[in-house]
Amino acid sequence: MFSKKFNLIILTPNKYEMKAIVRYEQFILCENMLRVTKLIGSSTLITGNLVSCECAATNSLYSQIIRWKRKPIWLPTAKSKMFRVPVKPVIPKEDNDELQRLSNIYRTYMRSLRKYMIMIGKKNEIQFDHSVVEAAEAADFEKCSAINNEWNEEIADIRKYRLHKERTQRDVGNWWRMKNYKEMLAENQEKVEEEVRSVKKQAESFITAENIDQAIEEALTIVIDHNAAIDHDGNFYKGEYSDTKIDIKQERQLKQ
Amino acid sequence: MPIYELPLLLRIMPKPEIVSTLKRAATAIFEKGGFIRKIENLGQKDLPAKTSSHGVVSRQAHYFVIYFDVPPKHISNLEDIFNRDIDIVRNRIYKHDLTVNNKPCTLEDELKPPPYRRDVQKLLKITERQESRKKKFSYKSGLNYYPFQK
Repeated sequence: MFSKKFNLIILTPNKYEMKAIVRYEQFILCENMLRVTKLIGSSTLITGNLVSCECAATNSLYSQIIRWKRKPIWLPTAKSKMFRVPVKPVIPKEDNDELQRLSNIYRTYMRSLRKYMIMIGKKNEIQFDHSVVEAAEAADFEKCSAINNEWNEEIADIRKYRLHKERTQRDVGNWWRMKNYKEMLAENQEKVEEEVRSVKKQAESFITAENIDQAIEEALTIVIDHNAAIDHDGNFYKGEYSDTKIDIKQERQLKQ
Repeated sequence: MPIYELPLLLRIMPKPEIVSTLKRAATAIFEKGGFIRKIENLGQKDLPAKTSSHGVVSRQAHYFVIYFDVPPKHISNLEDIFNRDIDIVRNRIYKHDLTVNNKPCTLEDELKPPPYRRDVQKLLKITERQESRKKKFSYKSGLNYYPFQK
């Protein structure tokens, strides 16, 4: 009853194809929906092997029609087919002659083709012989190797030049660095010596336990005033400026 | 040995006692292996505030500054000695910065508007550096301004 198998696989249908498909789908959908409803309750052998039930769905554009399971291979011949004698095909003589002729032609063509292929194979055997191929590979390798060596030499020259340049630059840099370092050391030494000289000079005026009495006496006699001021004209005033000094007590009294 | 500055405020007392107090302070320095560079007498002055020390209230003091060199490890010991001295009203030891006085300074530079002054510029640079360290929130809108009302 459902021995027909439909496959509907058109991925990019055009306008006319679409129309045809839609029409076809509508037809199949109606038919199959009925069939599905009929079949679902009938047999597990049938329903268990539904490939896809998309035909019952609304979008059935890329659907496949239900495919029925055939007899499993391990089941014996059906009882109804057990004693069936297949009918021998009766081919008319004209048809048979024609088929024979076509077959002869086909066989001739195939034989010649086979022979031709064998001939090519033999040729190739000679052409792609192991020793020949090996020799060719060796020659190719030598050629490539020669080119590679040439490139290597070129690059080696460039590298040699670059390294030489870098070395000279480094040497020059080192020379400058050493020179600067020596200069810096000399400068530092000079600075230190200068400081030592100045400290030695200052040391003469240092106050120690011997001359402390004298220093205290001197300090008591001289009062130092660090107060100083400068105006916008750049005039410098030393000492406390007593005119502007506000007597807080007097001011308070005045306020009272 | 680094140079230190010691402002000494002595209580009001007769000259011989001042001399003996100063000598006590100087001897303490000498005992620690130091020496004095200079003693400055700033005279008798009003204290900025009524000051109490060793149970005595002072309103005036004799101001002295002693510049001295001493190994740094003895500084705390010296401070202790001066704090114990009942004739000393106040004292403090500062490290004398020699570089401060060496900086050239002119009135013209000082009268410049603030952004042109070197010290202000220095401060601004410090602030800028601090600001740059802070993470700023990025809206990642591809715009260099915030498109909505804040």
